[in-house]
Amino acid sequence: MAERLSVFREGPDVVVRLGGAWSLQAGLPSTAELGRALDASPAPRRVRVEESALERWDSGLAVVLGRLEMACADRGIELDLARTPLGARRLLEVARGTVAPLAGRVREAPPLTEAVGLWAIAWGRSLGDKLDFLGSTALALGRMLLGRTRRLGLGFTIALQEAGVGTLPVLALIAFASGGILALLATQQLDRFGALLLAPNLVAIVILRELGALTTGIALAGRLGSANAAELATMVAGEEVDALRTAGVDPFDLLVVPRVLALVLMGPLLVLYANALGLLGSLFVGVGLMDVPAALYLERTRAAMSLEPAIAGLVKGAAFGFVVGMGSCYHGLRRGRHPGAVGKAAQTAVVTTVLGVVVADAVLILFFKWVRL
Amino acid sequence: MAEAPLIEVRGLTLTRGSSVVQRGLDFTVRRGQVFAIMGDTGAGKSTLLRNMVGLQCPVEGDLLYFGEGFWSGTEEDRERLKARFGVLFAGGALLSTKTLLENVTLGLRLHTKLADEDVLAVARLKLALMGLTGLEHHYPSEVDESRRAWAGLARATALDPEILFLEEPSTRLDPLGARRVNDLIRRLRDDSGATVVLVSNDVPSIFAVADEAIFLDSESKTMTARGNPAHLRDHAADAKVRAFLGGERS
Repeated sequence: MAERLSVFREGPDVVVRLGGAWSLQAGLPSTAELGRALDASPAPRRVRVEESALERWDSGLAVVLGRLEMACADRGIELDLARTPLGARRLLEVARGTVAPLAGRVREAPPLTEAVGLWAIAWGRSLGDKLDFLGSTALALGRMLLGRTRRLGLGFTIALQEAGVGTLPVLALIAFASGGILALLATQQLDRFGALLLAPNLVAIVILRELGALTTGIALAGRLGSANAAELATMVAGEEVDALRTAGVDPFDLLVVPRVLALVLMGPLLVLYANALGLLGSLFVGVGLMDVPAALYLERTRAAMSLEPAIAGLVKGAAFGFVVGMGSCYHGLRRGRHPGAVGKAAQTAVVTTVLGVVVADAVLILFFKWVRL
Repeated sequence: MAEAPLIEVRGLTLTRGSSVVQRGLDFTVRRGQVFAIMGDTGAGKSTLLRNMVGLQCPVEGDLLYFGEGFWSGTEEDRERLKARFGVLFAGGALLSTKTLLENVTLGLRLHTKLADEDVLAVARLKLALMGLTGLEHHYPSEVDESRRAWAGLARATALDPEILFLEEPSTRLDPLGARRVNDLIRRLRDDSGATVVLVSNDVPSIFAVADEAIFLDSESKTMTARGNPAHLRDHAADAKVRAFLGGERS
């Protein structure tokens, strides 16, 4: 079979012969030899392309001719395509400017300084966008507190229900199981040192100060982080958010503030609930499996309970609710307008809100240590 | 000796659910022909297309492409033959989670040995051919309906297929867009030698591009006319066909 692309020198001209059967399935012929011929010394004056035993051609030919045209223009070499198929020349008219250069002349990667600069600009823009989102939410909250928002109460009620009642079953399971596991580990370890009776105190403090709030934060991030983000991203993709704006409704008033506020209000209540279920789980394991007398377990637990860890847990609940609300709404509204953004928004929201909960927990622990709470 | 037909439809019976929509379909399509499939609502045009492109198996009869049995062959044979088709479904049927460029590159990556930069170059060329330069990185939801149809056409023609099936290519376009589609179909036939099977009820487009057409009738559940569109308009035996094509009504 004839070669698809052969190149040779003929005096001041480079002649490019097109032959054989061109097929995208087989890939494009290499243009490396052509590139070398154009850069040869002395420089060619003209490139003449002609068909010779060309059985069949397709879009690949137009792509190669487009690259050749660019290469000739770069080097100031005349290009003669008069003896190429008319259809390919018509395609070339369209392809002009859409194809990449000849092989070996690809754009170099940007230098490190440029890459760092571009990254810094993108990071700055992203931070600015997040601050803008935070500011818009604060303004919408202010409007609501001042009674300047239109009646949008139904959204808030639904958000309360979703954040509150809707989270109870999953939170009950997580908190009860976590409390039980903690009691099991604590009683086993302390029993080895003859301090079994200290286990209820330890378990109660950990649950009230840390575990109840953390399980609540994780449950909210897993359940509402993804749900909020997916719902809002679907609304953006379906142009529902644009429709709200054109109807004179600020999406932050209707979509963000009710969700964030509901999570901030429900967070502490859910922490109380998680604390209660966690203690119940620990009691079940401590009394049922580790044979600690029930009256003694309850008395030790009651002795360990004080107001400070409970307050710390409630503050954490509100903070985690805020983190989950803001994170999920941000990713839902800012991920993009296409349907693929929905899955991406849900995924990113869960990851970032879980991370946000853990980071907020660490920050609050340091803060409580500082204020001696 | 006359050239063997590129597509042969032999005694095809088509069903939609449990109902027969067409029976005993027999026709051939020659290489380089633009062949239109017309019909009234519910006559089974789209069902015939689904059978022709391998999405639905006919209950009776067979199709031959390049002289090779399509439904009587193995799954492997069908896949090999399907790599030589390009299909445009009504509305474009683009993948919503991929950009226009990614939609066009999909087939090129699957069915060719092109290097990545060549895949992108061919895909950009196809999009440029459809007037979509500058919209390569847009998602289907970010462009209007007519551009989605054009992007669908770019995807269907990405591999320079030998047989191109087009379902209602001009329905969602304005008159100028419909004219551009007609020009494109003619160019594909004349420059690339493609055979085009057009499933459409857009009568002006059929007159503009089709060499031959058939009419599927929903009442008799069979093909009631076959021939050149202009000839059918004036001389079809069935008055319904003449009326459909804007000729004498009875």
